Parts: sequence; structure tokens; C-alpha cells
Amino acid sequence: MSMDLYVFYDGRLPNLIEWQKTIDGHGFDLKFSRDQIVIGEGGLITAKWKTRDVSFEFRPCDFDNLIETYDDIDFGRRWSTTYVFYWSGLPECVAAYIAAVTLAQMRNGIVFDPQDSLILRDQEALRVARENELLLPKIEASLRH
Amino acid sequence: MALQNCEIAAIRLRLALLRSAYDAVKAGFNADQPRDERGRWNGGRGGTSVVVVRRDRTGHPKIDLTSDRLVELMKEVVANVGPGKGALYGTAIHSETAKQIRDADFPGIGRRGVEQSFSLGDTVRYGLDGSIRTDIVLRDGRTIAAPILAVWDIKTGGAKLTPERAAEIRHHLGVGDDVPIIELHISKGLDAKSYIYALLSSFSIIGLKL
Repeated sequence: MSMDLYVFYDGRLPNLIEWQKTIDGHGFDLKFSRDQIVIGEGGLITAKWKTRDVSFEFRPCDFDNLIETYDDIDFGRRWSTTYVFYWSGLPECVAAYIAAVTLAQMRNGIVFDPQDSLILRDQEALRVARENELLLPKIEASLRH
Repeated sequence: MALQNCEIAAIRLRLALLRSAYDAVKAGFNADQPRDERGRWNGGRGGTSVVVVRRDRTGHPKIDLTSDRLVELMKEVVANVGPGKGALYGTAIHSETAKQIRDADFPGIGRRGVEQSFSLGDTVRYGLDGSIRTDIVLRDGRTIAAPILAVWDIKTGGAKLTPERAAEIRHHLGVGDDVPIIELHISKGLDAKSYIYALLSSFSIIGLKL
């Protein structure tokens, strides 16, 4: 089952080394696998979040098509680059969120969480990613009962 | 000696009870869990009200029956997981739904039809780069070669299935517009009730073959 999260910014996609540096700089424990190259067409990113193997899909998408679907959301302005992140499991959710918010940070972009109809920027986006890290053990524990 | 009417009725009742118990076990029902007055698990905290507000029909009996079963299963999942919000909560609902559908082993879906990866018309290793991961795929038969009848995509909160994603799914599954993509949606209202609907997206069906 896939959940999704969107990132909007202007400019090109950073390479994995730049992206990783930003993730590290914000203190997240997410390490991209080194044997992969990230290209503009997107694909599957594999990584390790803490000790757990995670993967999530990301793809470019058309901003104009997206605003037709989400015509009730104010994206502020037109953005030249849009990527959508898809994931299915709980640790993948945490990892995809970290990747998305740090990508937005690097390019002064925004994050759109369609589940909660939230537009996230700057520190708020980072805060949500950190909250997810803290909430995960509680949610996993509640599902085990 | 012919059975008396009352004996036949008693056998029918017993069979119905057995069938009901079997369905409950398949759906993961646990009688020891705390439940509300309607029999739904409430986690000991008052529970979540789940209302089905819309069930779109394709006119294809197998697809519509499966849609009904999936909606009922999702109702149970939402009630069991309880209230919540945010991406992690949505992911938890998705994960639990996937687990329950696998366990239910629905005809035409089985265990393989849940979270399957496709690339250019073929099933591929789960999560293979360049592939696409579908939520639920119904086939007209048990084997992987059986034709695909329908696809369900689960969305929570304000998330929507975009035409672009529906086109990607069709492209990677190698199916045409005659295969419906049905959005199973869980949203929460202002009254904190959870609402579920099965939405046949207008861009997802053109001349369904019956």
C-alpha cells in the first residue's frame, strides 16, 4: 500500500552526495546506499535508517497536472520541479519523509503531505520528520498489541 | 427417514454460525479484544466510528464483490487501529490493510496480489528499481498469467489518486483503460468519524468489458 509525499522546488535534482550531506547536517540517521546513482527520472532509493533497511520510490511529476487534482490546495506559486515520494512500510515512511524534507531544504522548496493536506516549509518540515522518528516505536508497539 | 423441518432449520443455522465463525477467523477477529456495543474493537478507549459513504459499481460482479469485501475489511482495520492522524498513522492503516488482505486470501488476489511490483507488463522482484508497486490487483484466476481485472489504490486523508499515477500504473501493468483503477479512500470528518468510500475515478474507466 503506498503513501505519497510531494516536494516542490526550482532547479535541478542534487546528487546523492550533496543530499546525504544535508541529511547528515540536520542530524538524521539516514544513510543512502552508496551503490546507487540518483537521476532526474527518479527510481527506487535504498537506504539504512538507523539499523533498518528501507527503500522508497520517487518520481518526477507534472506540476500543472497536480494542481488540477489538488485544486483546493494553495501551493503559493508555480514550481519548476516536482517530485513525488511513495512508500509502504512504517520505517520507509520515516525515511521518505527525511529525504523529502531535506531535498526541499536544499532547494528552498516546500513539502506537500496530501494525507493531511499540509504544506510544510523550513523548520516545520524538519520538525515533522523528527516527530515521525520519535513516534515510530510507539506506533509499532501499538500495532503489535 | 425424512428430516423434520425444524431439524433442517437447525442444521442451516449451525452451518450459518460455522460460516460466520470461519469468516471472522479469516478476517482476524479476536473475541477477547475489548469491543463497543456493536461488536467493534475499541482498544478500551471508546473506539472509532467508521461509516461507508460511497461504493461505486463497475457492473462486473467479481470486481464489485471484491470491492465490497475490501471495504468491509478496511472498516475492521480502521476500527482496530483506532483514531490517529499524520503520515505514520496513514502508513499504519495501509500496512495493516495489506496484512489483513494477504491473510484473507481473496480469490483472484491471494497473497501475491497485494503490494506487487510491476515493470512494463511483467511482475518483477518486489521494489525493483524502475518498477511500480500496486496496492491490490485482482486477476481472473489464481495464476500470475491470469488477466488483470481491476486495481485498487488505497488513499488516506486528503490524498488522491492522480491521473498521472493511474497512467503509470496502467503502463507498468500493461493494461488498458478497460481495467478500472478503484480508489479506496479513508478520510476523517469534523465529527471525528472515519469515512470510507470506493471511488471509481472518472479517468480510470472507459468502456469496461463485461
